[in-house]
Amino acid sequence: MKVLAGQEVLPRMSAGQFLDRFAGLELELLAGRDGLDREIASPRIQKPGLALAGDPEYIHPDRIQILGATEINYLSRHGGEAQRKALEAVLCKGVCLFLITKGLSPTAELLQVADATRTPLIRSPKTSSFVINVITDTLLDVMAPRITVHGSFLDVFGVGLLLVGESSVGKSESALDLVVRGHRLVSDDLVEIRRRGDGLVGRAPEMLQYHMELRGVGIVNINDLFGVVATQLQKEVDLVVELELWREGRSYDRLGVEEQQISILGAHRPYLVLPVAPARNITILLEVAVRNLLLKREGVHSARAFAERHQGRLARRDDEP
Amino acid sequence: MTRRELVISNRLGLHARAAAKLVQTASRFKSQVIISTHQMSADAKSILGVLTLAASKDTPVVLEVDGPDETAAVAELEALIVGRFGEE
Repeated sequence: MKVLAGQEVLPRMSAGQFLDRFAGLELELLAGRDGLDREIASPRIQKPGLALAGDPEYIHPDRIQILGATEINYLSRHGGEAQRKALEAVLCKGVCLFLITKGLSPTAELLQVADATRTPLIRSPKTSSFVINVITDTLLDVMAPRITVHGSFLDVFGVGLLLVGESSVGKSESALDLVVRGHRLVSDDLVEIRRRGDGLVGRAPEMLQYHMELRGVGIVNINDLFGVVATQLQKEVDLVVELELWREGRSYDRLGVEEQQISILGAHRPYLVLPVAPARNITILLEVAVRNLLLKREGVHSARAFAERHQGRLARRDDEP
Repeated sequence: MTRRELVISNRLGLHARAAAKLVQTASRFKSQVIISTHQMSADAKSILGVLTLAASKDTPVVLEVDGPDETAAVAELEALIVGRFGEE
C-alpha cells in the first residue's frame, strides 16, 4: 500500500513544559529541579502501586507516575530503609515525573530520593481522578503522532479532501476553484495531520492558516476574501487525491471497481490518482470523486453495479443456444 | 537524491524576501526540492511553505533535492544560503 510521505513527528513534553502547560492544576515543584528536562513520551499515566511495595518491573518511566492517597499513605506507614530501597529501585529507572495529588505530604525519603535521582516531584491540590482526566485528555491531543504533508486540504460536501501531488501541478488553483464553488478551505500548501485512534484530523500549521499563494497574484487570505463560510479550522481526512500531470504510457484506473488505499500514520484512507491534462476540469472531477465516495458510503457502488450487470448479460448470452 | 545540511546565517533569517529568492531559485529547476527544519519540512518551490518554516538566524536546515538537475540545483541553493541571500 502507498504511504503518504511527509515529516513525521512524535511529540514529547519535558517535565518543565508540563509545569507550564498544566498551570491550571496549581502545580508546585517539591524536588528534583535538576530533572526538569526529562521527557514524557506517553499520554497515559500510571499509578505505581505495587512498585512501591518492591516490585518495580512494570514501571513505565516515560509515563507520569501519579501518587495518590493510596501510595502516599502506604509510604507514610512503611518508612525507613526498606522504603528508601523500594523508591530507589523505581526512581533509578529514570521516571519522567512523579505527581502527588490532593495536596498530600511526601515522606522525607521520597523527597531525598527524588532529589538524589533528579526526578521531578510535583504536587497538585486537586484529586487524583480530576488530575488524571485533565492530563490524559490534554496529552492524548498534544502527543498524538503527527505528520506534516505537502498538499491542500478542503471540506467538500462535508468530506475532508486532501489534494497531494508535485509542486505546480495545480493543487492551490484547484483548491481556490473549490472555494469559489462554495467549499471550505482548511489549509493550502502544508497540512498538519494528527492521528487519534483511527481518526486523522488535518489542520493548517498556525503560521499558515487560511493563506494561499497564487502564482502571479501573491499571498492572499481566503478568510478575508471570501468570508468565514469559506474556511474551516480542522477536518477529518476522508479521501486523498493525488493530482499528476498526464503521463504517456501510464495506465490510470478505468473501471473504479477496485479501491486503492493510502496509509497516513498507519491509518488507511481511500486514494485516487487523478491525471491532469488540458480540457480536464479538475474541480468538477474532484467534486464527482467526493460525490462518488458519499454514494459508496450509502452502499451504492456504481462501478461494481455496472460490472455485475455486464457480467449477468454475458452469462445470459452463454445460456442462449 | 542529493542532501545538504546547512545553517541559515543571515541576520534576519529566512524572511520574506530571502524566502522569495530561495523559492525562485528552486523553481528554476525540474527537481523536487524539500527544505526541512527539525520541526517541519516544506516544498522549497512554495513561498508559503518556506515562510511557514519560520527559520530564524542559526536555524539548521536540510535540503533534499531529487531529479534530473539536482546537482546544479543543490549548488545554486547552497550558494544562496551560504552567501546569506546577498545580504549583509
